[in-house]
Amino acid sequence: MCSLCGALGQGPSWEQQGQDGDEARWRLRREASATATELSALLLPRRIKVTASPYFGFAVAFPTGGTEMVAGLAQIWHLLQRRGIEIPDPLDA
Amino acid sequence: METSTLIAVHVLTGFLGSGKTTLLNRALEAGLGAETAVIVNEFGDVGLDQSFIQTRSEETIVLKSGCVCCTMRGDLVSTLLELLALRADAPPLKRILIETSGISDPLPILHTLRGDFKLLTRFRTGGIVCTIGATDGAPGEVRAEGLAQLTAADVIVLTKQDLVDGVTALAVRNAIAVLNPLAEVLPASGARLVSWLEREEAQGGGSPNVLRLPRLLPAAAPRAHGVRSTVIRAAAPASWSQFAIWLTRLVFLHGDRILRTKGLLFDRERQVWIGVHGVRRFFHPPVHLALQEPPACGACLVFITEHLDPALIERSYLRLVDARTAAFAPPESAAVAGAHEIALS
Repeated sequence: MCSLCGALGQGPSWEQQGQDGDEARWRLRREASATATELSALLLPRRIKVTASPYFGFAVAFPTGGTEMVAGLAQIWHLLQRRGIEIPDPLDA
Repeated sequence: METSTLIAVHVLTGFLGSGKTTLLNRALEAGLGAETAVIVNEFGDVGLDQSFIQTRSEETIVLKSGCVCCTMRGDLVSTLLELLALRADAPPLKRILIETSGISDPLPILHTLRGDFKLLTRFRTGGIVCTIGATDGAPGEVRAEGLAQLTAADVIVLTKQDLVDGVTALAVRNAIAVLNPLAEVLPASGARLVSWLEREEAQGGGSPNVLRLPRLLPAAAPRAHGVRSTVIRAAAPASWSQFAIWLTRLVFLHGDRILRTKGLLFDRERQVWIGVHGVRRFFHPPVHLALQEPPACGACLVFITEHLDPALIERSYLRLVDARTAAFAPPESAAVAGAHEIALS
């Protein structure tokens, strides 16, 4: 589970803390879905589409047709770097 | 996983000769020994520091084969698990204190604790305590390892103050305040350290000192070592997703130059204030804050950077906020206490 995004994926949730209620679980799914939508918008110029998977984290689909699964938000940046795809720099004006 | 059932792993760091072992002895004498295990990390073949620990805690273990912070992470995993196995029939441990070698960067220890699932379900990252010797001069002049230790610290213990005059001690304190305004500074008192650790444990960790953020001074002037800080006081982003995407991208691309991140943000979805705490690319799980009233200064983000103009980060964050949340402001009363929240007072 990504510490920052709360996105679905490996490890315990950063906010469950022993609680495993439906409300928290569904909120995490909604947030993961919202995160995926935001990511897809950010990466649209690179023609990359991100979808949230309830069991694995995120599915990242590339314009060449391949799809890779990542456990959390931070891993997406590692994946893009590994594939030589430029990550939009938030410090760029 | 209930945070309170996890064993807190605190890191005691500090440059060579800064008084780590002396402080550890004082803390053990002051009552830290109960429910505490100590792991002493040595750099070199002979574990000398163990001989200097006068008061034993319930367990004292030396990692002999090198520096835990660069080569012994696997050893740290096995040592922590062995500690649990050895104490299967004993009262449970409350905390573990790892005394690092003087040239260690404490960050890999945090990554080890979070990176191994076997540890994740048994331990949590505690506080980082850094000793600074007042006799060693302004800490900004120390080597890179010392700077990494100082800027990662949640609490700084100023040692050897009795060996310098008041002017020198004040100069060291001022230098510390510039390099790490997020850290609390304590005198070299075992009892004070024990008290700080117990407070951190009572809060459940994750974001010690976060409520001090609104009181921080504006950005400090750059110094020769290139360390600067900025306090961004602005509305929180509209959604946690937007903030997470922005921050993870920022630290992924620039994490080598962002020494610390700390924030107090209002999450509209959960209707709660959340504390964010990162050391370079390591981030603690965000903490829900059970505040009695909204913080006086509202949302607040602090960055300590090295050789990176923090104004660039501030500009970027304001773009994020302006673009998405110009009309959004936290409610007057955001003190929504929920089942998962951790009180910080």
